[in-house]
Amino acid sequence: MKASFDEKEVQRLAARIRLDCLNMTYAQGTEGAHIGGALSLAEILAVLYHSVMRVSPDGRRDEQRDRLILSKGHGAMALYAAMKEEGVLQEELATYKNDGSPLSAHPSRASIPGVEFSSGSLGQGLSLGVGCALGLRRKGNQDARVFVIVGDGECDEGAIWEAAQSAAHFGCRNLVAIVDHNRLQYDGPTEQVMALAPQREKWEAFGWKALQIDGHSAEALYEALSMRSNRPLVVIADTVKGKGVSFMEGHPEWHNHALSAEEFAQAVKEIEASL
Amino acid sequence: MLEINRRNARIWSMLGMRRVLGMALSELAEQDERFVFVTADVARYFGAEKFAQAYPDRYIDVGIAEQNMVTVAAGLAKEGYHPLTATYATFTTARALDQVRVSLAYMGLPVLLVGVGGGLAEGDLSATHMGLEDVAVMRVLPKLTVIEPADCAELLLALQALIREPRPAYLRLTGKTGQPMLYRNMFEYTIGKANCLQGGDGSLAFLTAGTVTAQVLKAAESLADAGTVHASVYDMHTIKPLDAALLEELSHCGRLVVVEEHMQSGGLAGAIAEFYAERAQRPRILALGVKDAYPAANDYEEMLRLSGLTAEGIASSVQRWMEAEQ
Repeated sequence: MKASFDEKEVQRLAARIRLDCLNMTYAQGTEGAHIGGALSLAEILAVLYHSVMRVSPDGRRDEQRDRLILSKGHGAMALYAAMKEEGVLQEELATYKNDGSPLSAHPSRASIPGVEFSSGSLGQGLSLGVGCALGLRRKGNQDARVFVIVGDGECDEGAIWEAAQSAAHFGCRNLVAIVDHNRLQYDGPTEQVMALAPQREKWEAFGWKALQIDGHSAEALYEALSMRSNRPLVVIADTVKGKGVSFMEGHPEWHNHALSAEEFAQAVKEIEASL
Repeated sequence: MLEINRRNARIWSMLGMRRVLGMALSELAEQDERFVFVTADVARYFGAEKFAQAYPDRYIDVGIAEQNMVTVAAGLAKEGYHPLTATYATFTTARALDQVRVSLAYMGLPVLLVGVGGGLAEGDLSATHMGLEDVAVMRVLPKLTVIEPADCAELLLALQALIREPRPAYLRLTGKTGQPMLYRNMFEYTIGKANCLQGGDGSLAFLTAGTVTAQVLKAAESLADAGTVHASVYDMHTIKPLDAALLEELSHCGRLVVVEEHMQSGGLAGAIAEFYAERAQRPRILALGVKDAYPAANDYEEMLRLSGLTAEGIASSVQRWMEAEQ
C-alpha cells in the first residue's frame, strides 16, 4: 500500500488514460474498440495504480505486489494506458490490437508480464481472485491484496455469485471487488436488460462489506480502496459509460465503436479541457 | 508411495478408483508441499475425510459450484500451488468447460482435474451422471494432458507422475468398486507411452483405456480360444498426447479395435483415426463405444452389456467385423 495521495495528480492521470484510450480507438479506424467501458474505468485504474496498489515494476515477480485482475477484460485499453502511464508496460500503446502485438483486445497473461489473468470470458475473474486470496493466505502473505474489477453487466453471470459466496465463506479479507457500475451493458441499460438492483444489498447479503461511491471521484475511490475490512470488500463504483466525452456518455452504442475524425477531435478537446 | 503388490492391488480394486484417490491424497500432500485439494461437495464420496482432518488448510470445498471450483483452483495455481480438483467427470468437463478452457488450456495453469464417473459407472443415476463426452471435450483443448488409468494401481502411478511434473491435466476415473486388477507388480509408467498388456500375431490390435480394459483382455482371450485371431492388447492410458511411436508401429497392423467407455465418436477412437487420416499406410479401425445416445439408467454391468462393452459383446463385434470383411 502506498501512502501518498494527490487528488489533482490522480485526476490528471485519469485524463491522460482517457486520451490514450481515444488515441487507441481512433487508430482502429472503422473497426473501433471497447471505448465506453474503458472510459468509465479511468479513475478506478488511476487510483489503483498510482495511489493504492503496490505494483511490481517487472510484472509478476514481486511476491509482495498487490494483484489486479481485470475480469471485465474488454476494459483492456484503460488497463494498458494506466500501466503505461505508471511505467509498468514496455509495449507502445500505439501497437494496440495490431497484428502480433501483445496488447490484444482482451488482456493476455502470456503476452504481458504485468497481467495476472487472461480475461475476456466474463464471470471468471472473481473466482480467480478467491483462489489468489487463498493462496496468499496460505503463503502467510498478510500484506498483498487482490483487486478484481468486474463490470455491472458482468454480474449477470452466475459464476460471479458462486465466487462472491465462497469469498465470504472462506473469509477472504484480502480480496477487494470493484464493480464498474456504469449502468449500461451491450443491449442497453442494465436495469432493462437484466435488473441488478439492489447491488449493495445483494453483496451484503452474500457476506461482503459493501460500499457504494462516486466512481469518478479520486478521493472517494482512494478512501474506499484503502479501507481494510475483516470481510471481503466490494466497492460499487457509480460510473458513467463513456465518461468525459459528452456524445458517448450514457449511450450503449459506444460499448464498442469507431471514432470519426470529427468525433475524435471533439472528444480530445473535451478531455483536454478537464486537464 | 504405496507399493504395488498383489495384496495392495486387491485392496485397491475392492475400493475402486475414487476411494483410492481419496486414500492417496495425504501421501500426495506429503510429497508436494504445494499440493492442495479442491472439491465441489463430493469430498466424502472420494473418502477425503482423513485428508481433510490431516491437512485442513489444504482442503477447499467450494460447495456445489463446479465453475468456481475450477477457477479458484486456477487462482491457487497462479500463486504457485498444485491443486487437484475432484468431482464428477461431466460436471467438470461440460458445465465448467469454459473455465477449464480459459485457465488451463489458454493460460496453462497447472490444475489437475479429476473426474469420477467417466463412462457408465454412475449411470444408475441417469444420463446426467454419465461421463460420455469428457474425453472428446478435454482432448481438443490445447496444453491439456488427458489420462485414463486402466486400474487402481495404474491410477496411483499416474497421480505420482502428475504430481512430479504438474501441468494442466484431466484424469478420468472409470469403474465402480470391486474392479479387476490388471497390474499386480510395480512397472514403468510413463505419461504418453502405452503399455502392451498382451502380444499377438500382428494382424489385430486392441487399443483401449479405463476399466473396460479388463473386458478387452477377456475378449482377446476368447477370440484366441475360438481360433479367430491372436490379438495384441494395448493400454492407451494417455489419450493426449497419444503414443505416436506405437501408432506408427501399428500402421502395418491390418486391424485396430478401439474400445472405450465413451461416446463412440470424439474419444480415443477419434484421436486414433485423426492420427491415421493423413497416412497412406493405415489399419482399418473398428470403434466400440456408446452409440450416439444416452443409455437408459440401469445397473452398471447391464449398461455395459447393452452397449456391447462386455467381453462377450466386444468379442462378438470383432467376430462380425472380421467375417464381414473376409
